[in-house]
Amino acid sequence: MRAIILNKFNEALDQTDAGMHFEEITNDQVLLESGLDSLGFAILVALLEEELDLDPFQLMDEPVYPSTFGEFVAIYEKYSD
Amino acid sequence: MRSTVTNPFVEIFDLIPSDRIYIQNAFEKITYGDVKLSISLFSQQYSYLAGKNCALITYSRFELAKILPLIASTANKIFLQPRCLKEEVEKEFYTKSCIEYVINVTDFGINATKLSDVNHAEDLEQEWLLSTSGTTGTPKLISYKLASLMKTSKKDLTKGANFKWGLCYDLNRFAGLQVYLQAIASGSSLTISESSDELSDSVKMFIDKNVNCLSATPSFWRIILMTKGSQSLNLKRITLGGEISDQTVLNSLKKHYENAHIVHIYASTEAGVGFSVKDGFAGFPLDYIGPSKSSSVELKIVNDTLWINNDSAASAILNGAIEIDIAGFINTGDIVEIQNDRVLFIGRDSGTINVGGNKVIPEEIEAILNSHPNVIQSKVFGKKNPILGMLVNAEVISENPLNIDEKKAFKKELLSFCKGKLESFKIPAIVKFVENIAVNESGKIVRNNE
Repeated sequence: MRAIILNKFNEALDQTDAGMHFEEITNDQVLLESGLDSLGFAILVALLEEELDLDPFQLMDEPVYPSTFGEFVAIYEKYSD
Repeated sequence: MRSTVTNPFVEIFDLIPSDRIYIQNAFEKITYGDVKLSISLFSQQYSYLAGKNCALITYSRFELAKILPLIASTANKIFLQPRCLKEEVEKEFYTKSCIEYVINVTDFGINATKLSDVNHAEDLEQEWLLSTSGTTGTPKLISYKLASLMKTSKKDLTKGANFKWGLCYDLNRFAGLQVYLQAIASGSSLTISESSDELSDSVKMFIDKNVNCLSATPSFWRIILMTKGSQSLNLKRITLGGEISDQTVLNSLKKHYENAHIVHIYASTEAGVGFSVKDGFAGFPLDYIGPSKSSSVELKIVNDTLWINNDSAASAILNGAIEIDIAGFINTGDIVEIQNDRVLFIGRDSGTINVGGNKVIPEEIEAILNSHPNVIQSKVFGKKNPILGMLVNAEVISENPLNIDEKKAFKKELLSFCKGKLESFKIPAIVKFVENIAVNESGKIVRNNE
């Protein structure tokens, strides 16, 4: 899951011309300081939905908005079971 | 001639204790007293603007808030001109609204250029003019009597002292102007962020200035919720507008800001402030439909579309047309659905895609995609997105059949083809290659809201 997200993360960076690429992202990386802006982040969620057929944000009973990469991955891991 | 009709907006600056903060940002702070002083200096220095129709162009929200009371104290009509107006539209707007002076405010000062002389009656009630964003064709120019713009603003100076509003909209658009008037009618302070600011910096400034009332689009709120430190905002009042407020964002705000009063507002430049919903649920109660005893706004649903009749609506559409029926109802273009005792917003009948408050016309993007030599046809549509409400998606028929790697490469190629031709939020986020795109009997692409 982490590898898929990292791959799509780079694709979203690419699509928004962020001019950045990550080989690895640490769990405590703050999402909004990672080079992705709000549009890039929205694209990331859409790309992941295309890849995994899963949008955890639509499935949540209790809304969670992640602020770090670790929290973001944890959400996808939780809902992919 | 200086008008003798009392101006309810300018009057505010006489009424409010002069040491109260009017506007502030990270660098500057202006009190109501400062403005009062500037008003008298300005009317002496620019006495020739008295009773004139003025177009006002500024380069920041803060500058506009600074100069607006000064112009309002002397001018007859004020056009709050947005920056990006096309030249031919600007010319037409100036003619239609009888603009006499164009006032440019830059870092170097105020520059007033005379355009024409118009004979008009004295002592007219002041009118403010706004332009719609014009995503659906030419922008419309709409004129409001000042009193109708200020109708929904509460005027409680005692309570107002406790409210510190934050502004994250443009001041020359309807939503921003409403926040502004709401704040100053009660003598509250307004902390102003600029559209060029990084959101995390705006949030930091709002925390810094103890902002406790904030109005923003649902998309903006989602990003605020993702921003580290946003929990430190001590919000009393949260307002959402400009896009569909879904249940998730409403719940999330409730959870993060337990003490806040959460309101989502339905308004448009053409229809004015429609209504607000305070119960914390998406959509609005079904009993809002039909004649209302307590408000001047009446709603009805015709063919799943919401129509609105508002007494305090724009006083005149100076340029552009809106669909209005014999009873005075305006077609909002918003498609709704009734679920139990609730009316929920589904999307726009024009197919307009709302990406985080920015409106996108599918046909505009299709035209660009179709101009690529290897594209036979394309269809662009909005798809729900948990972050920005909606995102632009495209289906494309490629000239040649493509394998997986070729699809990837061609998507990349199409996106870079769109860059430079389209703003970033208009570039399709997802591109799917298909073999055919359904058309109806009149040969038009079948569009349905997803």
